[in-house]
Amino acid sequence: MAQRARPLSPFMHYRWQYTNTLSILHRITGVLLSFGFFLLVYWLAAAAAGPARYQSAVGILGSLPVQLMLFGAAISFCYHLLNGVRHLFFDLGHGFETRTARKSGWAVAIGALVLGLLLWMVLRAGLGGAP
Amino acid sequence: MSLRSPLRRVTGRGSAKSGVGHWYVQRVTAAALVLLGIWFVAGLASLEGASHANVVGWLASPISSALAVLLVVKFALVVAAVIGVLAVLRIAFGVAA
Repeated sequence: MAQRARPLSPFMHYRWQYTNTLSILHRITGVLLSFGFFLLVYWLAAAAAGPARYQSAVGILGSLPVQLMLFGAAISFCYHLLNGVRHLFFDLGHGFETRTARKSGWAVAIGALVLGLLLWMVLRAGLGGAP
Repeated sequence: MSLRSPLRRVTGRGSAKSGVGHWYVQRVTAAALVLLGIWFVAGLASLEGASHANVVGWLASPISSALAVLLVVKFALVVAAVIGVLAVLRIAFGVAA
């Protein structure tokens, strides 16, 4: 007996588009940020534990692997923030027209890169300048 | 003839077993995180070097507001993170968790 093909999720057979990438990036950056959250808690806990503990934490946060993580977190934070606002507008029923959605998508992508780099420089300057 | 049991029709929650709760909480925490995230990054940027004294001074000064906001930051972040990760896992593994 012939088995009928099961229905596929839309992303399995739609033509891949620029906006699909934005959508999956939102989820990926969200997952990355939920891990980056541990760095934030670590930093706050170290600050609460006193100057000595804070100093050793700054040493760890300033090391190359953690700096790379912070770089990813900075870009992810800005992307997730901007695209999150874009999605909140979608949820309210605005900006669904193809042209508008593409334009806002480009604005989010470029804005995230620019703001992410700025945030990264702020984080770096702060940690580097800690006596 | 319907194959659905009367009990299923009465509880009326379909196959997902829950309503719009997750969706709604996610939007509310998202809106809160927009404001809190901007507040936090602005605070970081206005620090003149992340020395212990500077950081503690920032987080402790307007006692009531900063502590309250921090608590909310933590709470909102955790709720949004857990729900978001669950949603991604559900899509990745097709689990109706």
